[in-house]
Amino acid sequence: MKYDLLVVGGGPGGLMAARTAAEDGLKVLIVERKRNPAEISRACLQIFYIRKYSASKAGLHGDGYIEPVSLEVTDRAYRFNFPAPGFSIDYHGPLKSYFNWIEVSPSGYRIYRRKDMLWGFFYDKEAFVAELLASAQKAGAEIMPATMGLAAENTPSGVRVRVRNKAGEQTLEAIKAIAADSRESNIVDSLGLNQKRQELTPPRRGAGLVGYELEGVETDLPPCSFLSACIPSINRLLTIYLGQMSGDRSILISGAEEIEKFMKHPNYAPWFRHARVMKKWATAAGGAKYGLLGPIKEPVAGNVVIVGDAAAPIETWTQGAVASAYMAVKAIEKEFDGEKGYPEYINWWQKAFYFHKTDYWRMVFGMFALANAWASDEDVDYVYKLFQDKEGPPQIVIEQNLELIRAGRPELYERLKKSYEQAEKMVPKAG
Amino acid sequence: MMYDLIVVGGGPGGLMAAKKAAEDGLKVVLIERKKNIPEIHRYCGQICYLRKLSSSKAGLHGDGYVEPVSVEITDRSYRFNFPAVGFSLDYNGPIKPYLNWIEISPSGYRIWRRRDTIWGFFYDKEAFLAGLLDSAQKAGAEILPETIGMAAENTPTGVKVLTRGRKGEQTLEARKAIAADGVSSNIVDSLGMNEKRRSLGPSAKLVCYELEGVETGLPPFSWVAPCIPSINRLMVIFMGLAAGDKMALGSGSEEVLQKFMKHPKFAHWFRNARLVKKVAAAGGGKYGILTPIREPVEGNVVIVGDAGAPTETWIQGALASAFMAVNAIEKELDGKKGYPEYIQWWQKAFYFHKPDYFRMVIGMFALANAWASDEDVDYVYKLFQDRDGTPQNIIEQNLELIKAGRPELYERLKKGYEEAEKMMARVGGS
Repeated sequence: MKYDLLVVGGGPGGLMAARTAAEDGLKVLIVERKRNPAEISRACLQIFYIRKYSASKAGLHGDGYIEPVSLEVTDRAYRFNFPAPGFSIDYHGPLKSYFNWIEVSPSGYRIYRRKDMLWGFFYDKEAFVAELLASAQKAGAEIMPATMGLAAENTPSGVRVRVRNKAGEQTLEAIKAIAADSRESNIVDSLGLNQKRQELTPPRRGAGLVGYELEGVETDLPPCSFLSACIPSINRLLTIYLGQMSGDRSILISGAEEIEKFMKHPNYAPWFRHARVMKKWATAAGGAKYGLLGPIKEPVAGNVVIVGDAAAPIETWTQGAVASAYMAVKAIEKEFDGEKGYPEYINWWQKAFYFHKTDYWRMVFGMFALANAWASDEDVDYVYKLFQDKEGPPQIVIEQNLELIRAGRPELYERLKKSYEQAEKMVPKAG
Repeated sequence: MMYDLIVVGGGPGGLMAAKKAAEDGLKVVLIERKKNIPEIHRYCGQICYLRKLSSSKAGLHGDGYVEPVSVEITDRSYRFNFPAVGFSLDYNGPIKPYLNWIEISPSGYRIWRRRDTIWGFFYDKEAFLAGLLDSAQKAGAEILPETIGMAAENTPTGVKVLTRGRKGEQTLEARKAIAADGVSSNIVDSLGMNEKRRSLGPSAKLVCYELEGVETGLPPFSWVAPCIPSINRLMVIFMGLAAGDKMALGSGSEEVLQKFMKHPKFAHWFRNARLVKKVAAAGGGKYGILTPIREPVEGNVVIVGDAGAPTETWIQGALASAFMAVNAIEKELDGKKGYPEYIQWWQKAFYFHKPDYFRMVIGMFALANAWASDEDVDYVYKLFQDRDGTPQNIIEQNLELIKAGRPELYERLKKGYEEAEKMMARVGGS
């Protein structure tokens, strides 16, 4: 049984690839590890970002996929539009607007990463993925759930993908394959594509990200705010995030320990006095084979095309996953027609994501630098109080106003300055 | 000096007409009463409605223009899309989504006309009009501010429009004209088109306060409509979003607003509130509420927006009808038939041509007349507390539930609805 296209991974990227290919008449099979592909088992903030800025204004988040996207609110549905690649996805689930993004210090001083402007939406990723799955199936894509893609091997006429499920191991054959199996992709690894990638940080030890869905959180933040907390005594690199979900629910994401400590922190405990945990998510603890790997520059290996997180150093976001899946299918269709589709896809991949740009790494390392420079909660309070209510990402606000810290805190000033200099040195390494 | 097109009125409809005609290469002049054209003197909810539901679910508001529209939120601007007529307008001002529409009784019981769904957006109308004016001017439209359109007269080759400006009266000539001069349109009147329209009732006045520091405790992004018979009857009280952190509180008179702000159950909302701006709207004018113009074309003059409607066509309806009117005029200038298409479109694109619409209006009046006391409203809203829907429909469909506890109120409501049905028959649906 030979397929035109085998898609490994049934997340947003894989399902979008399957839907596009099936709608265009290809014979498609999706292989997905989970029994129910629509179920989200990893913690995810579920944000659809709209406003993307230059690095100096935005900071990291939302800037994975940098082509313009839009949300269209119609009479009957919401529509996520991707004008650059040229497709739309309808969505009928809940939607909440985000107007503010507030960074708070241990004592509650605030820097506004975004203020009073519609910069994104919470959407229900399970509902979104369920709709995508339904449309892929309706278009004729086959799905093999509870099956793990183990490895891919190019053959002269196509590709063989080894998979494992309850029935044991088997080999599936297709003319082309798409690897949409995310970070730590088995397919990418089996093709030897990780060997050329630079390891930017060592593998993370201990627990991964944990998410709580909460009811009854009572913050004193303006409505429609997203929050990130910088509390060195609790967390260093792993930020604590608090966002909104459907109904009156909130989502809190960080490491397991960080979350527990944050909810008991004297300044923030009152927010959670009446909160009830409705659901918990946890990404696989430890066991990561690689640290942060640089992006795959040319995400094509023979008859296999890589999409989304599988080829990226960091989350491509749902937007980047579906856009790269769509572009990959269009490339594969060209190749089927005897035209050159791959160079176009590679070109597009290199310009559609922020992580191919030096600016991006300046942001990442700037964030690390800052995290390393704080010696105490009091340090953060001092600086956030100094820049209270300013607008911009803290690492940029602080870097641009470093001199203001010098007089009051010469020692902290030196630490911050040194950190920023070290970050600058790391940038060329990643670029 | 002969123009291809004179546009009378510089609101959304008129500016859209001038912009489109100028972009399509016509020689256009737009005349407008105001000096600063984008400035808004009348109160306006400034809502771009999205969710249009069947009358049984939606109630009146938002159902003026019934073709689908969408708001697109992009990286750089907001875009209002009109897929049915085929155009889009960019807008760079602020927007805020409306998520809830809460009907509230004197003691605070709630019926949710809309809940937790984006049914519209608040936007800044002045910023929107400024954008339209700018693009009309860039496209080459001539703009005459501080000029009133007094009357229009068809001639064998075109149309003469009598205007009055700072230099006195003047007659402008063009091949075609568009009347976009709003609810008491001079142009419509001068052409005798009001003679065939029936009166639906006196026009309502509207006063609005813009307030800072209102604390309702209700979910954010809500439109709130209190029903308090001891304060007011027909003219509802409403509170919606305004620019910045402000809220807009409106009703038929200042007396009503004052009473509401001092009402024991609602006074605490306004404890820290500050009145920032007061806006009044002179409603209706000479004729009150008139039935719609069925065929909004008279010789070389085409009527758009509120000038041909019994109620607000909303910005959407004004823009869409202006776009369609210019299309029709361009066809006619090319020697083709454009008017029949416009008339047909006009008759199907607005809710007020449908019998359902009048059932909603009259049903609302019936209900307002049936309440004898605040306690009546509390009783009924408590009974239907937290239901989703339009109060007049929920109550009509569940009238029997009121019978046991309040037989006398039941009879009054029943009679109110029956009278509404009779009025429907008299008005004839349209």
